[in-house]
This record gives sequence, C-alpha cells and structure tokens, in this order.
Amino acid sequence: MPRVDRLYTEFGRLVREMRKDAGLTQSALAKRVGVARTSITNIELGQQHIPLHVLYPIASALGATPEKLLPKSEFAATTTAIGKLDPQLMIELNKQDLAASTKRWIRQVILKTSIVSGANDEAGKIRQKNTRRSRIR
Amino acid sequence: MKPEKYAKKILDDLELDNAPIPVEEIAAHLGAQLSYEPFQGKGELSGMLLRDKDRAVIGVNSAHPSVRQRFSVAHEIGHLVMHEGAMFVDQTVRFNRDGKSSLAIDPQEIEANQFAAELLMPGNLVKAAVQKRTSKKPNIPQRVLIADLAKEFQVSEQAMEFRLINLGII
Repeated sequence: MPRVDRLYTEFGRLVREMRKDAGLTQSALAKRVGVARTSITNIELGQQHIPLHVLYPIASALGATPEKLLPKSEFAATTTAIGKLDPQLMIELNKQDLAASTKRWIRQVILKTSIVSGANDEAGKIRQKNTRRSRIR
Repeated sequence: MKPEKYAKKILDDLELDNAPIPVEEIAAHLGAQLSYEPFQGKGELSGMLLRDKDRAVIGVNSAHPSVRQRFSVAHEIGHLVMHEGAMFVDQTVRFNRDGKSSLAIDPQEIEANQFAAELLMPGNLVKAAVQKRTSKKPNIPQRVLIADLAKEFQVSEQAMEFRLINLGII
C-alpha cells in the first residue's frame, strides 16, 4: 500500500482503541463528532484521510488530547529516490475527489512507469480497494 | 501568452510543419513520459498529467480511438507547458463538490483544449490544406472536406469540424 496509508491505518487503529476504551459505539462517536457513522468506520479502517481540524473534535469526543491520536512519526516514513516522482504525488492523489475507478487507473499508469518510489514492491498491495470519499481540493 | 502562441512556439522550435503532428515526439522532447492504459471505470476519462520538479508522466486512456488519444496527449502537453500543478486528471464529465462540471467552466481546461487544437491542427497548415483541396475541387462537399482533413491531421472529424469553424473556414 502507498506509504501514506500506513499513517492513516495507524490513526484509525488508535481511534478504535480509544473509542473502545471510552465504551462508545461507532454510532455514538459519530453523533458526538457530528459525522455519519460510515465516516467513523472509514476512519478506523484508515480509508478516510481526515483534515487536521477534524482531529480536534474526534479527540474531544473521546475525552483525549489530539496528541494521543497522532501516530508515531515512523508511520509517516516515506522515501524519495533520485529520478523518481515525489511520493507527495501519491498523497495528493489520495486527496483528490475522484472515483475509485479513476484512482485505480492513475495508480496503474504510475505503476507502469515505475517512477514512484516503492511502486513496484508495493504493487500487489496497491490493488486494495480505495473507498475514500469527501476530499478537499 | 495565449494557448495558441504556446503551441506555435513548440511547433516552430521543433520545425514541425507537416501533418500529422507527431504529438508523442513532442511529449518526449518536453521530457514527459507517456503511459497508455485502458480505463474501464464509469464515465469518461481521457488522460492525466502528473509531475514533480524533475519528471512528468502523461497517462492516456488507451481504450479511446487513436485520434482521441492524440488529442488527449496534446491536451496534457498543454497543461504541462502552460499550467502549474502536480496533477491534472481530465474527465469528460467531472463534477466538483459544488455540482458544476469543471470541464466547461474551468479556464485551464479550455486553455488546454485551445492549445491541443492549435498543436494538432496548426492554423496555417489547416488553411493550406483547405486551399489545396478547394482549388482542385471547388465544389467539394463540406462533409468530404472535413473527413479528408481529419484523416490528414489524424484527428477526429468532430475536432476538425470545430477547428474549421473556429478558423472561420466553414
């Protein structure tokens, strides 16, 4: 999977862990934050990349500080190889408001040119389905 | 600078004055890598441009007819030379969150289309080609003229018709 997904997978894991500790259901947490339950589901699966300002209401709803929900920096590790496209582009791609099929196509194009670092060795995992929605432009 | 000027400059620099215009060579000259991939999702996706400071990749939907693919490459070259931004994804119908189609409204899309039209169908070459045909056959039916020129420039008949209208020829 693209490196950035590890960050959100870990973030989702932390949210789930703290939600359970707080004795909340996904619906209850969703209500407190003011989002749909499916958003919480996607966040916990690491499939929704939340904007920074959403971190605060989530933390507050869990009775925690925002720092507690931040994954350790190792989860954000990316590598840039010389002559390869900046991995930031993959992050940008995930942020775009595009259909899942469109994102798949773009990844395929990128894989063919093998210019994003880690694109080849991660190829098998990239095919995972991408269900993220609501992106900011 | 107008999109047409950008296209003209590239054609001049590469001394291209014959149809069909080799768009793939132009992309290579500009350092863009081409990648062909069929798109099977819903809706229409023609192509994309992805770049950073060192590299650029143009993705083309290879499920489209070849004339359409040439237009897509030219359109993405337009984004490459005229616009800033790491990523352009060009879909025939793309709706933003405000519900407006970005295709018709987005000025960058309009510019990229103008650029592509000039690159693939340079005004002077099209005019010369029209002249050649009409001097030989003054009564050439419009539909035949469009079809002939589309074949010569390797563009769709629709694109050629639009171009002839914009050039004030038909």
